[in-house]
Amino acid sequence: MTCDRFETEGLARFVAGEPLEAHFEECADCRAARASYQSVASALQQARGAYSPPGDWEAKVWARVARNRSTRRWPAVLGFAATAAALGVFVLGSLRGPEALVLTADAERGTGPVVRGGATGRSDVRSMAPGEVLVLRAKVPRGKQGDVRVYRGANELVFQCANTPACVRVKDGLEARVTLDRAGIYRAIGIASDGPLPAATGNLDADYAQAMRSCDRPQHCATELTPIEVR
Amino acid sequence: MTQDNPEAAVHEAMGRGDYRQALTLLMGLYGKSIYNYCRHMLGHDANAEEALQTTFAQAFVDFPRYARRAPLRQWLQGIARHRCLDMLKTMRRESKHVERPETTPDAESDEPSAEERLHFGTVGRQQLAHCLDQLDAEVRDAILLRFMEELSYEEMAKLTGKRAATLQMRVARAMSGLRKCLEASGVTL
Repeated sequence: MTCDRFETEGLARFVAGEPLEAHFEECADCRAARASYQSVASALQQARGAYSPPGDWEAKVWARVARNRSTRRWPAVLGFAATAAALGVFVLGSLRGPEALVLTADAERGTGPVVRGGATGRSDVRSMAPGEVLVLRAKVPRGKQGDVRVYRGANELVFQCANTPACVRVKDGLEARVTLDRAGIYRAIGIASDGPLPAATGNLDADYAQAMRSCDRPQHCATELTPIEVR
Repeated sequence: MTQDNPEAAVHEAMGRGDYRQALTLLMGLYGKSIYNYCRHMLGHDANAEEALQTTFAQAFVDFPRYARRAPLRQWLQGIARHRCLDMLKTMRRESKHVERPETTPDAESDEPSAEERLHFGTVGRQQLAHCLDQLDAEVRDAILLRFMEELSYEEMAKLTGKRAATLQMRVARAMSGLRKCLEASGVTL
């Protein structure tokens, strides 16, 4: 007859990491059961590294963070719209008009192909080599002033349109050429404002938040590209 | 020391309001383990990646509210756990019988590969994944938290809101179910 005391008594102590009484050492059936459970536990511990996430998952998280920021104020805007509708106010036109602030990026890679990308849904520029040129184009809503800023990390402002001839006015906005000369994670934001543009704070999050605060429609005042890794 | 406490650099970044740096560090520290937890919970590559992304994006939003009551790893684990359980509910709503297709190249093979045997000993990855799938979600969650995440029952209780004794019973039940399933799959334990 086989002994099942390990199943009925010992297992609970085993999973709790508590000491087992002498019987479980002396009984062959219980020793075997314990060894089996030890194998299961080991397999679970080793399975900790069984799978690896896809290589671009971090870039997807950053893209999601950027998207969340762009839509963060929408519930409030929609709440207001619903209230207005309930009051019989007829809201003319769409809040997401054609004049949203748009920032796109191209990477110039010597004589090779130009890779298009940006926040507007085209394939993203995600990595570049030191010395390559990032071409940023910001379409700025009519009547607003715009700026393009590039940060290396969160706190190193490496480029600001307002301060450099490398940024020129074009028909509907700005075009900037930024040489990314050092390794790191670069983040570009476009901001726009009805009045004077808020000064750069030296922190990307703060610049972004400042632009959003001074704005009636979030998508008109701040946008961010997927981070670009230079390596 | 950062070497002693891998989370120290994340705390420093959070302390100076550099949430981007904090998130970058956090993804480097725990991305793979969170993915593994989600992959074992959900049984599906694409859903696990979705849960992984939402977990870290949510962490970025929640950084200002992080109160240091638990280590960052456990805080993050709590977010991931909720995301996975939510996704399982959605999957159940969409289909009474949740299909959890394997999408890895060796998914068709019941036999562990030589590499897997080397890695896991006698238990192959596919067999383990199959047997984990047979467990109820909460039981599977409990055993993953205990043995893969190596949380104590007290830590698990804080994370899940369940009593430590309840969780201990769930883990024992899961171990018994896993053993039977693995042996039925031909694994010699």
